[in-house]
Amino acid sequence: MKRHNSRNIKSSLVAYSFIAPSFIMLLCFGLIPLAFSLFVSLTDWNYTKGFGNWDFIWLDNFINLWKDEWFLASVKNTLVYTVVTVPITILLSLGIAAMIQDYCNAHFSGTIRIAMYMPRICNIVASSAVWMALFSSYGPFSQAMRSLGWKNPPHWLADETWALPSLMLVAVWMSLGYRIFIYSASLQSIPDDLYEAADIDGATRTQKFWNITVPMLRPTTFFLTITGIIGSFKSFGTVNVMTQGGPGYSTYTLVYYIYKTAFSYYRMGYASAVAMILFVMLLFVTLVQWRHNNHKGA
Amino acid sequence: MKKMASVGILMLLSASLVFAQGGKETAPAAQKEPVTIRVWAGIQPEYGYSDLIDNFNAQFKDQGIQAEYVRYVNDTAGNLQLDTYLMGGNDIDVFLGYGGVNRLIPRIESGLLLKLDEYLAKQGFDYMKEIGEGNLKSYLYQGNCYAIPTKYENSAWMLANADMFKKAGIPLPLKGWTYAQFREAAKKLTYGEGPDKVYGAHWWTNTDPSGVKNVMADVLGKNKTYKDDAASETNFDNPVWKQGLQFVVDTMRTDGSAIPLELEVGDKLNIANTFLAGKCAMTIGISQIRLVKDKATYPHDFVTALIPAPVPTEADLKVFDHAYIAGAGDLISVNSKTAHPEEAVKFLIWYIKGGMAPLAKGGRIPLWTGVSKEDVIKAFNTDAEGVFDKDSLSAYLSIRTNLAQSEPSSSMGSQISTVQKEEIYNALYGKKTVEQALKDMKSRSDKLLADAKTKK
Repeated sequence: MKRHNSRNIKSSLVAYSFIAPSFIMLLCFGLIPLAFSLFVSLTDWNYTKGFGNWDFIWLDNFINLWKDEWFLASVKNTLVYTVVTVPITILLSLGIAAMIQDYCNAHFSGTIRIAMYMPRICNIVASSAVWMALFSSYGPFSQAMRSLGWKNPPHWLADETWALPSLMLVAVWMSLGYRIFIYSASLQSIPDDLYEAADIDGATRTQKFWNITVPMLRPTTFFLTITGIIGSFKSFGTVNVMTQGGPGYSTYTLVYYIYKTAFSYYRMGYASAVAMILFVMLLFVTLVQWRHNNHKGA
Repeated sequence: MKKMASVGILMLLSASLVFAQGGKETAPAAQKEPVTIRVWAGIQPEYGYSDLIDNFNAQFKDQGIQAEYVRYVNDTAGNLQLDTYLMGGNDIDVFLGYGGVNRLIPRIESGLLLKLDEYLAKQGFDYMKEIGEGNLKSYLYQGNCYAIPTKYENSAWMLANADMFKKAGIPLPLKGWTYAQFREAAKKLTYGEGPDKVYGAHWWTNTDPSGVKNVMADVLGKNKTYKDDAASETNFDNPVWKQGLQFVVDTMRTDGSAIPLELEVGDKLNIANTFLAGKCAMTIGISQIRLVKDKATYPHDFVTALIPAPVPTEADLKVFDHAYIAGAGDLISVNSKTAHPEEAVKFLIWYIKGGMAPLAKGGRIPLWTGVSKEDVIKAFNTDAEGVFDKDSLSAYLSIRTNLAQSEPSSSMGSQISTVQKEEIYNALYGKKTVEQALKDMKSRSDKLLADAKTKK
């Protein structure tokens, strides 16, 4: 009995030792900062006052947020950004992946997938600089519109109406390749006999796509939607490089506002409160989607 | 196994003996290690800091003080790095800070800066006399000195292409001019269409509109931003603001003689790709004067003049030189946690009293009252003969600094600046009328002040 117990303990220790590295990382870089952020959000901590030099103001930060025009604009912009970019990227990547699968031969399709994946591995600052050149007043976009007869094309990043859509376009471009890659892998795993059976039944290409491909890709779509929403909520790089939240606050996103409040104004307590709101929003989205998926899967 | 352990212990013991011996040899009692002062500033070393540090090290070698230069980037991330190092300990001894009182006051209130009064008095440095009360007053905190401005820079002066002025038959307005005269001149200096268009003016509002804010309202002196010394209410409903903002809007949107904001923001325009590229005749941006001197990096073949920005009316010509602006910048401070406060203050005094001379080559004008105007002009023209119009340089160096007025400050200064920028943009984009933009600028800023007061 004793020997059995000690064997159990030993095997448990082995198992714990395997998960220890990732758990320690999660603890140090995830859970502890999260708990600290929650703690700081209840204080008025100003970064330059040094560690520990804070007063508790409890929920004041969370109450003041809803009267803060920059915060409200950030929430609105982040939601619009997510609602537009995630479905567009999902639909485009699904369509392109299906077309590559159906119409390209094996060698050529690999090249296309790799080419489309390139934006994902490009440095975000370098990509943003290229896009800024494309969006400039006499850049290719504006010149193309002028040549088509549009006398005063939009000023893209300098225009309150167009700045956010311009950033959305860059976001779609950046994330498309990765999603095509994932969809392509999933498409290859759909059994051929399903399509063969559908052929025998006389199904058209469109019917096969909607009744076989799309349902079979549901777990992938779920995964990409979740990661897409989380990615969109965390958008920061392109905003910081291309617009710095402007013009006005038309491209302020939640993460950019957290950055600005924390590192320009040094209001760590307030910035942590915004971060907590972001955390709750993401948690809510994730829970809703998980629940939805489990329900459908059941 | 035992054998290996004893060999290991033996090796460790031998190594510690060797290190102990080495320590004894390298620290003889007679020879004192020189104290090294670490100096942080936001300018590339080649614009004068390398020479400055070399000079200091040569002069103070006998006194056992040496200096090292570290460049930080003067942006949000760079200032965060600076503040983190200041909080962290004594990696910084002396630093040059930028951004005026908005950055200075939080650093003082957080205890990051050394109170200099006693140290300076001990070394016989009377900062009021050496720097001038008008220059220093706004940087004192509760009557104490934590930072001393070292550079003079009047952001309401503009860089002008003297060749373009000559060609258009417009004399350089060295004795000042009004908004109306400016608009006429800017229209004359504007020509061409599309991407080849050359504009009369560039207000350079896309990074920080502080220069153009001075053009709009510096005649209000210390009440440019706030109505009272307690900074309890903003002064954006003053008619001067309306006149000033309307003037800038007119140059951009009515006359087409100033680069429109859409181009400035969309194309990330700056001094290098506008003024130095011959795309405009005048620009705000006196802080970028070092780029004008750097012909190797920014090649251009015209003479640059320094001219005052216009004032609203003839009556305002009494301050044609924008003398109300306390153009004192580049604040030198000592880290409160420095291990060598005496030596750091020694460096600070040396820097102010002529040590910073090599920086004049890069376009930084010393603020020290003992500086010779001729020496500055000479340093300015080192390796840059024919780059600047000498009369205009002399006019710039003749600004009546004794008239400088100190603006009140508020803990919400940074946020109010953000509001100002957004509302100025609304007017310049034509999204709001000038009246509406100023009304919103005032109500939003006053709300920030009121909220801050409630929290206290």
